[in-house]
This record gives sequence, structure tokens and C-alpha cells, in this order.
Amino acid sequence: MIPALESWVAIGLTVAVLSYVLYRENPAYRMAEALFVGISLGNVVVMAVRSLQSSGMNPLLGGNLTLAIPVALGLLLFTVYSKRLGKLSQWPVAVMSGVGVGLAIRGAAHTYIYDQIKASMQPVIIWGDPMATLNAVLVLAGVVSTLTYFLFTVEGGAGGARVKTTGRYFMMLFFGAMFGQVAMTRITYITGRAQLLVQFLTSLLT
Amino acid sequence: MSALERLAKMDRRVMYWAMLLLIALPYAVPLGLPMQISTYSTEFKTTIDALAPGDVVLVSMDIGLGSVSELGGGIIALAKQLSAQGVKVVAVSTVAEGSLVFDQYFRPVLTSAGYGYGVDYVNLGYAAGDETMIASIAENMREVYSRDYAGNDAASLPLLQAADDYSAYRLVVTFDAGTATGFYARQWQAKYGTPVLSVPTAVNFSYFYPLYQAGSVEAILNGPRGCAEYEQLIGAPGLANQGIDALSMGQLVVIAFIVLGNVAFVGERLRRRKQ
Amino acid sequence: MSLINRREIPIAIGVAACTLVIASYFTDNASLASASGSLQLWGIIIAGFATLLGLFSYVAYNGRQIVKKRSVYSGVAVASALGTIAIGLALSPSSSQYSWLTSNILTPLSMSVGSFIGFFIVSAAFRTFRARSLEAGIVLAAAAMIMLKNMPVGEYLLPGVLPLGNWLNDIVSLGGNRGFTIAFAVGAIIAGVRQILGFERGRVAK
Repeated sequence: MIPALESWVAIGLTVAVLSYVLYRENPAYRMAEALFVGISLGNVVVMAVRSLQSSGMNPLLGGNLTLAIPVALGLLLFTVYSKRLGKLSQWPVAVMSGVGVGLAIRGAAHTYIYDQIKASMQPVIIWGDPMATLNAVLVLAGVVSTLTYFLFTVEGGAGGARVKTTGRYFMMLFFGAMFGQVAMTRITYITGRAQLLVQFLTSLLT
Repeated sequence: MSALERLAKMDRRVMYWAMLLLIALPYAVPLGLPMQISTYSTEFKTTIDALAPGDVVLVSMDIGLGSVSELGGGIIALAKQLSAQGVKVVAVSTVAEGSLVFDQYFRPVLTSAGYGYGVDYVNLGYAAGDETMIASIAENMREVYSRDYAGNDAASLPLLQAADDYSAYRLVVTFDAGTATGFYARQWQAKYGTPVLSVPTAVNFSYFYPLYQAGSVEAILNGPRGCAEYEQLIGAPGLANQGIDALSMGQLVVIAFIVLGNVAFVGERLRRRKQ
Repeated sequence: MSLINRREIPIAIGVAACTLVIASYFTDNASLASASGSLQLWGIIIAGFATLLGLFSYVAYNGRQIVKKRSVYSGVAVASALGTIAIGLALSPSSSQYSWLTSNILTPLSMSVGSFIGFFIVSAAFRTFRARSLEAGIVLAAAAMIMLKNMPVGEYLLPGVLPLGNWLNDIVSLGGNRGFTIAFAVGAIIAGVRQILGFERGRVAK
């Protein structure tokens, strides 16, 4: 069976990109790379313009005149190219970063600190269940020693150094677990391409 | 040159070809190994099970097209489960390609289940701002999205008239290749108590695990493995299950090269010590 | 110094925006909440303009490359970006033409480029992932355990690997992970407080 045009396009582009790792840099790869960068960027711009229209321009043109302020601030970003007016581009950046930091602070305090400490404050000794006791001790030891590792202002003597070393071991365990997860993420990208190649070859042969 | 030296100087392309060919093998000859279902996936499915027909769910597509290899199975499976239960869907995205992912993978399942646009589901598309956008849509969705992805007036869509802020949503599901799970946990769960379910890429599963364990995230799937388990739980093995054998092979190859690398390393050390 | 060049202005804007957003979270004052909501919307609109600024910079850079080096690839990148924008804005991102472009060209390119790291992980695993010290050994063992528990072949070859891998992820590495999470949040809050107090000038007042 002859595959459809779309399959040929997908296979051609996939082979062109993979040729970089499986062979070496070549014109087919560079062409595919240029296409990828161009279309990705084009798509980002299309979506950004639609987002701007949806949340800014349409309501502004519909009579919500207060939105003229953020639109004007947004346009000020483009003064970054001007030597004389370049500093004006910092004003909209200040609004964005101010709002972003404000949101991050209020959320982080609740979710990343309060909730995390609450979840750590569990009974450590669970009578009649040695495994649960071991688990609780391990989690608490991991949290406390890792946090101690980041206490740069306190030396803590030999005992403190031992706690920090323990914290380092706990972090290494976490990094190892992370690497295992990273491998899973990245391998799935290859599995998707391998599936496409096998399906294409199968369709050619049947 | 000894065997160990030859091993240590192996051309990287040999490894890449070995990886590609061994990953491709299970697509030609499936292994079909059984897989145990984790408690994470079971919890995820039962949380969705608890939704009633007519409930509204916010689906946030916070991934690019590249991540579909990893989470595509989960996207289709969620669309199947939600549509089987008659749950309404409002989709947003913090990633420019997210709305394309929804259109290519989620929407076809809804339309084939007879879902009507504007009444049963809406795709609002991408909005800039990341956490700022996530916080804003909780308070007033139509202020951020005056138009949907197709350019329709948002005020004219019946579903959006009824579901304009957090109070209308039973839960949020985010497909996440970045940091959106943390943002939703901070801006929706912490502030309004709306349950957040996360389908992160495997690498992000590690980041968000403490949030899940502390209850800030209600349920979580472990990347492609979690998606494959979820497909099995809803009785519709698909994309994720097709890829799970290939994923196994790929990880075996990585482990094999770690072992080989260490054999070469130890051999080299012993040789130097002898000299 | 002219008004434009005064660095106090962007700092004051950032401090005011940040304080307003945080204050609205801790009070139930309706006007404060409304002001914070408006400011957040402004942030979204400005972020949209910032994305457009990115395109502007990219086209300017590649435009220079086309003129200077007569680079075909830069030309392809710019042409494909502009073509994508033209289709997306003239028709609609939900149009069939745009869908064809993204599903048949952008999708395979995006997935193929993403697979690079999968390949690089193999060579990194071979060349650098070595048990040179106790810490490196811990990382290595944890990574191998997580990979084995994540794949059905691992369960098949080593039946005890799944419960052991789950224990490693859910208990042993949780301590280090949670310690990291809390330390990260504290760092973010300190950066935010520095912003409120005007000490953090990196982004707005160089």
C-alpha cells in the first residue's frame, strides 16, 4: 500500500532530523532545523497575537478603556532598541515581574512551605508497625538533613557536618531517582519516532 | 588495543543505532508483558469516576506537540473517560502548542462521543502569562478570554456563561511538561480548594511528587507508565500501551550502557593500578 | 537625570505591583481584590507583547544573517515563520490549513528534535555515569532502580523491583525531594522580599 502524502512528509522530516545523531550534520538536517525553528516561532506568534486580541485589544476596542494602559506599557517594551528611550522598556518589565513575584510569594508560602511542613509533621514512632516507623524516620531525616545542608550561615561543628553529609546522601538518592525519570521522558520521544518508522515500513511492505 | 580499550572508545553512533533498533523491535514483535497498576493511577481514575454528568472540568494543556509521544495516551484516555461520564470540558493552555494538542488529540474523542461545541466543551486556546494567567482565569475567565480558540465571542458560548470562574469547576486536570502543576496547586487548590490532578512528564513527576504526597495535588500519573496504566484501568489500551514495551527496551539499553561504561571504567582503573 | 532614566521608577512600579498582589490574598477587601485582578490582566497583556518582542528580535537577527552570510537556512527559518504567521492570522489557527501545517510538519519535527536528548542520555550513561565515589554510586543505584521499576520488563526479570523501587521513590527520596522543595520556596520568597524592598534590581534597573 502506498502511504499518504502526510506520511511521506512526516517520515522525510523525521529521517532528516535523526540523520544528525545517527550520521552527522548535513544539509537535510539543517533545512529541517530551520523549518522547525521557523514554524515553532510562527506558531508562538500566532498564539500570542490571538491571546493579545482576546484579553487586550478586543475588550479595549469594545470600550474598556483602562486596558489602554497595559497596551501602552506593552508597546513600551519595543523601546529597548532605542538608545535614548531604552530605559522605558523597564517599566512594563517591572509590572510583569512585580505581579509574578507577588503571585509566587503568596502561593509558595502556602503550597511549598506550609503544606510541605505539615506533611512532614507526622508521628515518627508507630507502635506495632516497625516498617511504618522506619519510613517516617527516613522521611523526617531526609527533610531535616537536606534543609540543614542549605544552612550556609551556621557551621554546627562535627555533628552539623555529619547531618549535612547525610543530607547530601539523601539528595543524591533524589538526583538518582530524577535521572531514572528523565531517562523515561526522553526515551519516549524516541519510541514515538521508532513507531512511526516501523508503521511506515510495514505499510510499504504490505 | 584491548577489548576494554575498544569498549571505552566506542563510537557514540553505535550506541544511537543500538538504541533506535532495539526500541523499534517491540513495535514489530510486541512483548506484551503484564504490568502492575500503581496506586497513583488507581486514585487518578477513581477521582474522575466520582464526577457526575454535567460537572465541568478545566483541562489545561500545558505541553507542546513533542510531549505527545509521552502523554498522548493519557490525553486520549482522559477524553474517553470524561466523555463516557458526560462531564463538560473547558480547555485552556499556558503553552503556545497546547491548543494544537487539544485540537489534534482531545477534541476528536469528544466530537465522536457526540459532544457539542460551546455547550459540552470549549477550547479557549493559549493565553500568555503562565502563573498570572492561571490565577486570573480562576477569578474571571472571560476577562482573560474574550474570544475562544476559533475566534468566537466567549460570552456567546453557553458553557462559558455558566463556568466563568473557579466556583463552577469540580476539578482541574493539567497535562504538564513544565511548571503548571505547581501554579495550579498554588493558585487554585491553595486559594479556592479546587482539586488539581496532574499528568506530568516523567521527569516532572519527581518534582510534583511532594505536592501530591502533601495533598496539594489530588492525583497524579507517572508519565508514560502512568498513562499506560490509566488506559488499562479504563479498559481502552491505546498509544501508551503500544509504546510501553519499546520504553522498556530503551531503559534496558540505558542500564546496559551504564553497566558497560562502569566495566570499562573499573577495567581501566585495574590496568593502571597494575602498571 | 531625566524622568525616563530614573531607576527608582521601575523599582517603585515593581514594589507596588508585588505588594498589591500579596495584600489582596491576605485580606477580603473587594476593591483590593479587583485592583489585583486588573493588574494580573495587565501582566497577561504585557506578556503577550513580550512574546512579539521575541519574534521581532529573532527576525532582526536572522535578517542580518541573510544579508551578511546569504544563509539559505536563515532564509528558510524566517520564511517559514512568516508563512505560519500569515496562515494563522489570515485564516485561523483552527482552520484546516493551519491544522495540516502543525500536525504534519511541526509535530514530527518537534518530536524528532525532542528525541535528541534520549540519544544523548545513552552516551552520557556510558561515558560519564560512573561509580567514582559513594555519592556517584548512590545516584547510579537509585537511577537504575527507578528505571527498572518503571518498565514491565523490570518487573518480569526481577519480581521484587517494583515494591522496592516504589519504596525508594515514595519514601527514601521523598525526604531529599521535600527538603529541596522547601529550600526552593524559601529562596523564591527571599528573592520576592528583596524585590519588594527594592534590592533586586537585576531585571529592571541595570
